Amino acid sequence: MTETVESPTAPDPKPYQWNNGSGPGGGALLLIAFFLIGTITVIAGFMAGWRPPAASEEGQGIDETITYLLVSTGVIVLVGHAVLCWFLLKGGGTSEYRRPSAKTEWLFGLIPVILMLAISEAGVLIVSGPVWDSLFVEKPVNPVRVEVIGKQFEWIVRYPGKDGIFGKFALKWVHGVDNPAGLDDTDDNALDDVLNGKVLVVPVGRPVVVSLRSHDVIHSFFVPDFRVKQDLLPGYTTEIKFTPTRTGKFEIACAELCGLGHYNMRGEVHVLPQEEYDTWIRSQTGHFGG
Amino acid sequence: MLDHPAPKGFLSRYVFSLDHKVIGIQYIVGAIVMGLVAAYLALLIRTQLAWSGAIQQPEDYLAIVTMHGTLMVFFVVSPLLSGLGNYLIPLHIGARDMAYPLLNMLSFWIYVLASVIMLASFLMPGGAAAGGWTAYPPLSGSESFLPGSGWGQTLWILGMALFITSFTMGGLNFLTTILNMRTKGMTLFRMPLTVWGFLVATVLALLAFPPLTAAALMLLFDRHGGTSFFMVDAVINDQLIAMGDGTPLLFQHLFWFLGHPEVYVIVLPCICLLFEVLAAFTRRPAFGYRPSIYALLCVGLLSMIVWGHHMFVTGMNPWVGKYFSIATVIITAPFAVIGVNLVASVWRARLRLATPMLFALATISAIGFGGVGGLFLGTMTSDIYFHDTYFVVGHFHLMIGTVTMLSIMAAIYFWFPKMFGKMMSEKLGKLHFWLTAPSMMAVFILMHMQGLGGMVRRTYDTSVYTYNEGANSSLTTPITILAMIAVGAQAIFLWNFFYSAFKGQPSGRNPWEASTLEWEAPSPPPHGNFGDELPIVHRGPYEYSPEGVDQDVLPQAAPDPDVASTDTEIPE
Amino acid sequence: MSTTGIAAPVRAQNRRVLVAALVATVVMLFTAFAAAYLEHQGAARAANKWSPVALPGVVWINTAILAFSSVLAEVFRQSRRRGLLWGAMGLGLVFLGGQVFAWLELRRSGVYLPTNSYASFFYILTIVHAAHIALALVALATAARRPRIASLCVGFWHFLGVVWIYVLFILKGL
Repeated sequence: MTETVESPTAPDPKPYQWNNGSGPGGGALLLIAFFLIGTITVIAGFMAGWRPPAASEEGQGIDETITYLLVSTGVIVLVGHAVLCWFLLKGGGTSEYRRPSAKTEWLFGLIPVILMLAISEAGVLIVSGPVWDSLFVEKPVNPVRVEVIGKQFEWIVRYPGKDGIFGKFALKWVHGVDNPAGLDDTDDNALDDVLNGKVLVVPVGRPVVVSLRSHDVIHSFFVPDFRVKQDLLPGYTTEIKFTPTRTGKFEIACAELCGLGHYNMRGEVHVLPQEEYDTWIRSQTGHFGG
Repeated sequence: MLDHPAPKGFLSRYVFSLDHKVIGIQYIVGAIVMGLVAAYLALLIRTQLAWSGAIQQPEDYLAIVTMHGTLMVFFVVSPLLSGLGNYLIPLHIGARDMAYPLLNMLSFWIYVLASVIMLASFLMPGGAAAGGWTAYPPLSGSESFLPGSGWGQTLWILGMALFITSFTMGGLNFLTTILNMRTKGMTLFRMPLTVWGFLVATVLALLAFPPLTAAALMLLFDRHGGTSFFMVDAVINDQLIAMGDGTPLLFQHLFWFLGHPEVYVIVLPCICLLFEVLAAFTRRPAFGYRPSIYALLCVGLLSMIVWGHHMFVTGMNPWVGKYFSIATVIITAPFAVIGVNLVASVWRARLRLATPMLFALATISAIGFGGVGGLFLGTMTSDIYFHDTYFVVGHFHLMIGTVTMLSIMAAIYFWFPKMFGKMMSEKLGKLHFWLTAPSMMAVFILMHMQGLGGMVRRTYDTSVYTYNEGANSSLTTPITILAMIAVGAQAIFLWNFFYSAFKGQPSGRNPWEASTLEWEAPSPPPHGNFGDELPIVHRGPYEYSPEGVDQDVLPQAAPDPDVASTDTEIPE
Repeated sequence: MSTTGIAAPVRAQNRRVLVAALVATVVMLFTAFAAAYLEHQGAARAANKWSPVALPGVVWINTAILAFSSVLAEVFRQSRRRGLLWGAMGLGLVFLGGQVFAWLELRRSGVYLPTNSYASFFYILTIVHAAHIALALVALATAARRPRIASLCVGFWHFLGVVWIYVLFILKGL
């Protein structure tokens, strides 16, 4: 650390002086190139479609929100950068400068407020509101009900079986492969419940309501192709809904850090045509043989 | 003149100093040291992601991720701002020191202690905390879920508690100093925007940290007192482990009640100091001084009531979720005002593209990208998709990583002459800028794209998922290489900083011909900052290109020129 | 140089801001606990697991002691008779002792920190409050020798009394 004790009046030895003649020079052009190339690349990159195509109705809705935001905010970023570049390029030179009046300043405060409120609240209320409602508020029509259990570090899928009712469960009954879901073997409803490893099999075109619970820590059920994600909270049951629009195999990822094997907590969703699904579900026997 | 006499010995001058300037530089140097550790951790993360199967095990990786986040947010960026605030606030408002110098010194040394404890947690059995910087229970609550949730997590809580103590002490000092220690004529609406940024940030920090303290205390009780505030019965290896029936979500509420304002605590001073740099290097007044202040106050107020947007997918009541989304995106409005004012400050500039100005202009660009990214995460349905993906990682690194680092760099290059009486090398500064700014921004913008592709964060090995093949994973290695460039370029900065502190060209009192009070003091300012008389403030902070006066700039402390100025009276 | 650097009125104003900010942080701290308590209570009631514990009777005696201590401190503030301050501080110590007695009493009746969430909240709230009381006692002790900060210290003491009522309200009223 330096300690040049300087008395307030002593002249500085060879002090630094800003060279007024140098002007902005090539630096400004470089900056402008940086801003413009950056902005255009980013917007092009985002528009290029990094997402796997949406495979659920809700996913299409969420994609609409994303597209809306990409376009509206893309324009804002582009215009903002263009204006900044123009200011840098044009500069003020030596011409007379008049300070903007307070009125101008307030006006330039008001315009972005109105613009941003309109864009952002339209995004929330008009574009994404209906999707949100369809996910969490509206009652699904004729849904397939499934339960997905998260534990370190795998998924267990449970179907209600022939009676269509999920049996009772409790953590104290969980026991290895005999009873991985902790079902109550004295409960008639539980006897025919079907357990299915890491693969969630669902029919196409019908809403699927997945109840989620966890055996240990917080996990998060995420199917990128469906665009849906929902946390699993230990001690609680949460729900997520999606309506697959095409058949195929999709991946389930765990999105909430859940421990050492978090990265490896992979599951699959198989979306089948209704008839194939019916055949498949009929062929399944209950975990307790019911 | 001052409460404390001018220091005599080495210890009282440089180590246990009461002088706000020394404490400020201590904070900055301390934060640089912690920053090197945290940046090294960042490179370890990127190495694992790009060339996986290397040296790290998952437990190492998660500990590295957790500690990188914790250190960067609380032990690098926050103390960098504590340092800048400590250095600048008294000089900016014309005070001789902070209101409570002893408290100030204690605050720094408690920060050092907290840092040591945080680093020591790597040496604990089970390693450092590994449950993420958010430390969500139950994962962070018991060793049986994660090895890092053993002693490492306990030390993490202890380190955080000490950090909060230190930061609160600093905050009390900032608040008192700004409100009471202003020199004659320095009304609130003549304060430089930097000081306004610190004022709002301080109030936010003082209000938002206590709930985190409560959460940390409850987590500590859960871990060592057998309570179940957040813990829930669990089955591990077929063993039922009774942990009670707590509410894990409660921790998230308390954490984000702090966590979201904390983001603004970090970002607001960084954005505000840009106005200062812009005005000095455009030779024009900062555009929209008052609207910016009101926008700042709105941002501060709103930031306290929107924490739930971090929790859209936790299964919260859908109407509550909607409320949080509606409230969150309102923040874009005052932020847009600040953004427009930043851009408009460059209007008709007489540009001087020195290094601080380059950093300031690049920060505006980063604010643009980072700001609109926030809209994707604040809107509830798009957040369902983006939550916990690399989009979030990219977004917050752009805001509280890139914006803050670029802006703090602008500040360091700008105020370095004041701190040491020497100039930093312009050539090296520009090289540093051109290597840092584009690579940093590219790193985090590319992460947004991986998030758009659905890549999940905090994953040790992303190749487990086939949907990551192709576009997503093609970006991983380029990001790592760019990150290496960004971190490596800091070597230039370090050399420039320490070399120039001793051997730089003498700067003189006011090398940038700037207008605010600190430039009235000698460089570096002596004990007590100003001479026998404190400067008297005659006008607002950014009177560049004043009308009707044949002068480039009217400093705040300069007496009125002959021609009548618009703002002459000195309020008491 | 002596301690005359910062002008006396500025110093006084500094102290007021400092104490006001401290009060704000303490309010936020206990508000966070209250919110946590409500959240827990709601969840536990929904699951029919909410079982408040009867507070030991000594808690009410402690409340009276703290109130009387506040009265003594207030009379000290106005009359500046130091004996009253010692009285107030003594009562503060008695309050702390009484709190320890309350914890022991609960423990004797088999209510421990982890027994249920009501008990956890009782302990954590009273412990955090007691920690604040202990620190405030140190502040009061310094007030005896420094009349200029006496008013603020006494004010903070009153505030902690109010916080105690708030804690009781959380535990009994909510």
